[in-house]
Amino acid sequence: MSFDVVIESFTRTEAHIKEVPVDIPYRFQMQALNRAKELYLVWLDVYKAYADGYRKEILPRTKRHVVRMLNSFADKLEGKVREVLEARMPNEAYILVNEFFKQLGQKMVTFVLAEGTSFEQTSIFRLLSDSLSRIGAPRPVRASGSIDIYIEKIRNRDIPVIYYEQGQYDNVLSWPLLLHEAFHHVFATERLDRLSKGCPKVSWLEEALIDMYIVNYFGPAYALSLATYLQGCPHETTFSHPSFTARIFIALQYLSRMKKDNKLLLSSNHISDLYDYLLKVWDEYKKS
Amino acid sequence: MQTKNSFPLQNIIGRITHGLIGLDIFLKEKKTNTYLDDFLTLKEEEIKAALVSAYARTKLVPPAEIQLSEEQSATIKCVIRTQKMISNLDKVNSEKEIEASIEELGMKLDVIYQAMLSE
Repeated sequence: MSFDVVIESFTRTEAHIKEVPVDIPYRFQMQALNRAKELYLVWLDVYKAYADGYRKEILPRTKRHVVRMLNSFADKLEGKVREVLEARMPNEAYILVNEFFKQLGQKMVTFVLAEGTSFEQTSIFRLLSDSLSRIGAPRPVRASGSIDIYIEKIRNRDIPVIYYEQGQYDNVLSWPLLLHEAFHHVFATERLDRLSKGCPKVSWLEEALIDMYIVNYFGPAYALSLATYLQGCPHETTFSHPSFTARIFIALQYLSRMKKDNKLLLSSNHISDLYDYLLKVWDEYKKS
Repeated sequence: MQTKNSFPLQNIIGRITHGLIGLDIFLKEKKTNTYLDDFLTLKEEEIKAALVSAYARTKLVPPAEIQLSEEQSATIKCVIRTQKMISNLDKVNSEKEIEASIEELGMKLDVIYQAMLSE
């Protein structure tokens, strides 16, 4: 069992990451994808530095476990890269999210969309932290600080990663859900938890506030998108999320308020139809 | 295409592997080391959370609750047992006992790899 196989695996992964084409007509999107690529390559440098450290240790009984671990790390990283660089979401979704950030005064947000199993917001640095949290550098390289330099580089140039559910890539009606995830980034950077003053002290408040904000921003389209999507996963209240029915109720209440304040510009028939639809969904699940 | 955030599971694999490295080095150097320290930071709740994918702070919907399999529960028990042994390494009678722990923990690591691959 030799570390050569790990080096070969890392070399292949590096070549694969470099080879994935980034050929997009929109400059901001191309820059974002190239930056993601650059950060993933630095991430691979972190793993290479770990490998350098382990190979200097004498490990008669456990070298195979280390080799296996490092190979799986490289495989997983390559998989994550592909989720971003081979995401099938149309370029127009990038434009929508980019416009959303701009309108909120967040002009310089570089972000990428990624294909996964659910709508979710994270960042490249956060994923790296999930990977290496409390796994110290191997002893022989610990003092060199090289690993810390690479990690710091990723932290300083970090970008948000907005995941969408893979089956939804061609469903335009689900795109408003991307805005919910994008807003998590704004919520954190603008420290909007201060909005929670006077609100009930519940653990899922952030999710509820974000739903309200996106209803306010995107109007009935978000409420429709959310209600339609959540019917496929009608969840109860959890630590992080209000229940499915509560979220529909919140959207309904907020739309009612907007209607009363004459903030909804669509025809009244359209609004009534949507309102009836939301009420029907809410009522149906409330009973069950 | 990979579909979930499997890095928490990868992290568990990393810390268990550090436990194995640490024990291997202990047998040679007869003193504790930083790899063992990393392994000792691993908590039962963290392994459970990673196995049931309970990382959902910024997801649109919460994840479905998943029950741990018997194999996974046995793996967690093995980790805890090994950590207790490491905390009392001065009382361990023979190298064979440590070697047996390396063997058992190494085998249990397969269960975490399987969970990661099934994601």
